[in-house]
Amino acid sequence: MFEAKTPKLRVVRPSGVGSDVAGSRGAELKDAGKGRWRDRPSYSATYAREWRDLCAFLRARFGPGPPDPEDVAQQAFFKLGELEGAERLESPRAFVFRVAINLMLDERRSQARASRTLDASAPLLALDSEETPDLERTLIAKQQMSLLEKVVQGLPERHRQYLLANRLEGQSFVAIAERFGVSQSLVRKTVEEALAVCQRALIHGTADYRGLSRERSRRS
Amino acid sequence: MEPPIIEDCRVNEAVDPDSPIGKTARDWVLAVAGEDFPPERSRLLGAWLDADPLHRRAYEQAESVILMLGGLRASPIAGSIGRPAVRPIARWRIPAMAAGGLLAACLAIVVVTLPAPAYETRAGETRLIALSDGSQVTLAPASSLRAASRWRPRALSLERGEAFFVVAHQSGQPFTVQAGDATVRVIGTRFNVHHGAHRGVRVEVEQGAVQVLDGDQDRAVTLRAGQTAVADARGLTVGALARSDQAGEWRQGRLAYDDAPLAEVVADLNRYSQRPLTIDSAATGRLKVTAALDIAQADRFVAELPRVLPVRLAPDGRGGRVLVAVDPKRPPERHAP
Repeated sequence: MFEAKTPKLRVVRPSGVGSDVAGSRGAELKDAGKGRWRDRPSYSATYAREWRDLCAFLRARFGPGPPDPEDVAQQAFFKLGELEGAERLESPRAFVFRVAINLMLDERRSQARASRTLDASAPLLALDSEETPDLERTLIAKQQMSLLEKVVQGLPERHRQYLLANRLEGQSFVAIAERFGVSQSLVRKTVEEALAVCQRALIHGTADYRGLSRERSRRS
Repeated sequence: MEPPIIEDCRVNEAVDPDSPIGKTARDWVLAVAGEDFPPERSRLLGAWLDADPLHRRAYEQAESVILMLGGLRASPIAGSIGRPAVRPIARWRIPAMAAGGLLAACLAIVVVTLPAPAYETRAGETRLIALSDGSQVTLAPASSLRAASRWRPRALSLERGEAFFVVAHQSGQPFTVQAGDATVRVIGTRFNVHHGAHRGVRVEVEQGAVQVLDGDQDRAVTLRAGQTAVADARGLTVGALARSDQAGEWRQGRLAYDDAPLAEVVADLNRYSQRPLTIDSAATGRLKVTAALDIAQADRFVAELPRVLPVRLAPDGRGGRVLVAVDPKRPPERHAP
């Protein structure tokens, strides 16, 4: 089965090359050290823990490929390994998931573009329109991003905190619950409400904060 | 990497995020974003996505919003948005938060220690109780029933007396009644629990099924409709109801005993009468009684006891009566000269 499959390349494994840390196996440097992610013990721990989950997820979400889910997972872990310690802004798990999903989406877009270009029945204009969709895309993306910023700024504090802790720091709902001393179900519900507000706002082009729960310290 | 955008942001193409499919899609996206996502879960997600093209579209739309939110990191305004969540707590806020936390803790203690609902009946009083989960209890006279805690309305304790339960079904939420050392566990049924002072606990089932566990919970019997069980010092004994459709006959004003100790009968009678009846000794209490009586006729029944048992009735000097043993070898009182 694909879950049991090991990576084809080993570049993302801790290499020990040019590293001041890799030599000392037992060093409990965890997340404290400098240097690249792939030179740290927590990197192989993440790798061991998340590899199967990520590959299985990519396969379920995007199908068997191409691109091959394992290849994309491989690239995502490679990027994590390349990060400097100080660059760590989110949990490694969230990082590899986010990067792998984006890689898949990018790959799909370029595939779609290539097939459009090769399609003989496509209007001639499409041939030199490579730049135009991107420009348009960038414009739309900018508009959407600024709307989203406004929406998030307008969220109640609890909703904004939990949402950003998950989105920017990649914290799991369990970790957020521990951090703020609330129940996991409250975190989950809060982020769900915040996401729903963002979804509605992007569809309707305007923010609507109805339906947000007000309890501040409910525990389950 | 290209900036993520919503592909189908026009209203006619977007799946309503508040529709059932939109909500399920959001649930999936959130599970990937914030929960453990082992391969088993991925398989379920894949099956859901493949089930309907609309599922996939709804998922992709929710996912694109989640990805865009991650993109706030790179935005110039991101600092001001991101800071409150990321920034270490300002020093002056710590004492304030500590005070707030203390207050919250005090409130929590008050809430937690609020007494659990308790129901009591006086002698002769019967009460019909509607529990918050929809179950109903008929509490017999001189009985006491309480919930294990405010948060667990379906875990009850019958501290003394007798009660008949009509349990509302709630899947995954067992209804339990603790009586002495015995526990009765139920899923939607009608049954009676009698917690006598002298003869352990008697359970009668009118409808459905209940499980009765004795003290250390290593013995359990499952009772079906029409069955009865007694849990006492000797363990669990299963029997049959005299009338299979009639558990908790006391509700119709009838009491029935099959080889029951006199002490139990007297304890029951006292729950219905304002005039106390006592027994002179434990030995007298162990005398066996088989009888059926109408609660309204309890006084007559008591008056008849000396005719069937080696006892006599005497005033106790405080307005009540006492059953006194008579030597079985001597002729009963009424034959005395």
